[in-house]
Amino acid sequence: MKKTDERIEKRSNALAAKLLFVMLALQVIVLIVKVCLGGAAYCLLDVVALAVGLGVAAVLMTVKGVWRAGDEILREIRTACLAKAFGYMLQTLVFGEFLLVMLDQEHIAWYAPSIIVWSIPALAYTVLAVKRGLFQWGGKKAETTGKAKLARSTALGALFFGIVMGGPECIKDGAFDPMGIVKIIGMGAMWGILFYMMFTAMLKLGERRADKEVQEAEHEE
Amino acid sequence: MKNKRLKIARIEKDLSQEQLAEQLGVTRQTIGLIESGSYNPTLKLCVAICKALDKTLDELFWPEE
Repeated sequence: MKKTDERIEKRSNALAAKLLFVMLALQVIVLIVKVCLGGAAYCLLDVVALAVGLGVAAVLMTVKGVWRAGDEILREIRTACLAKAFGYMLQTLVFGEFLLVMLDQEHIAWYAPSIIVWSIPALAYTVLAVKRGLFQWGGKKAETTGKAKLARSTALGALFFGIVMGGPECIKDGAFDPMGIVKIIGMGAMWGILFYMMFTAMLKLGERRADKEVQEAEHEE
Repeated sequence: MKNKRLKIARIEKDLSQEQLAEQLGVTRQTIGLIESGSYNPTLKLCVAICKALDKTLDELFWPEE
């Protein structure tokens, strides 16, 4: 069973729970604007995302009986429910938008605003998690194993990115073009190196922030 | 309030914060924050710490008179 750090989990949940409301608010605004501009026919993802965000939160909070969070523990459980809803809504928006853009490129302009809905909370989550030291390796051993795992995941992601972006280049005038393979490798490598460097830099910064917090706490009386 | 007893018990066991954290599956910083009294661990983590350091809950976490 994968062990998780309860302190980081609690703080991450608190952050995600707050950002769920930001994401819901952005989604409602985007939905209203789209309807006002006559794009009601292209609001499927917006409605589904809202239903997932609100639905998951409502169902989990009902099942766990934490609508009225009276004490510390109930508040923590409620926060965890909201954080889970944040995760599901974010995934729905990211994958939903990716699918819609791939399947209906004609109406791409109607699907584009969804980027605002998920990217602002996702970016805010990343920045705040790094700033609060929640994004970290947590030790030398974890760093060594984590880096190897990250490298494997990045390679897979890079391959996927390369195929999606450079894949169509493999066929030119109905025939296979070997230059397409070069483009897949080039695009994948570019994305992979950039992603790996950014990710490790964020973890390093997060670790430094967490160490600073510990040092400050040690010096407090 | 700082938890000096936890720090002493850890040092007695010849464990660094990182080694104890690895045993418990938490980050080194979490152990640091518990020792400095800035984070209140759950009972589950308290018990895991006690087991790792061969101490009782009373010995490590009951407030000193």
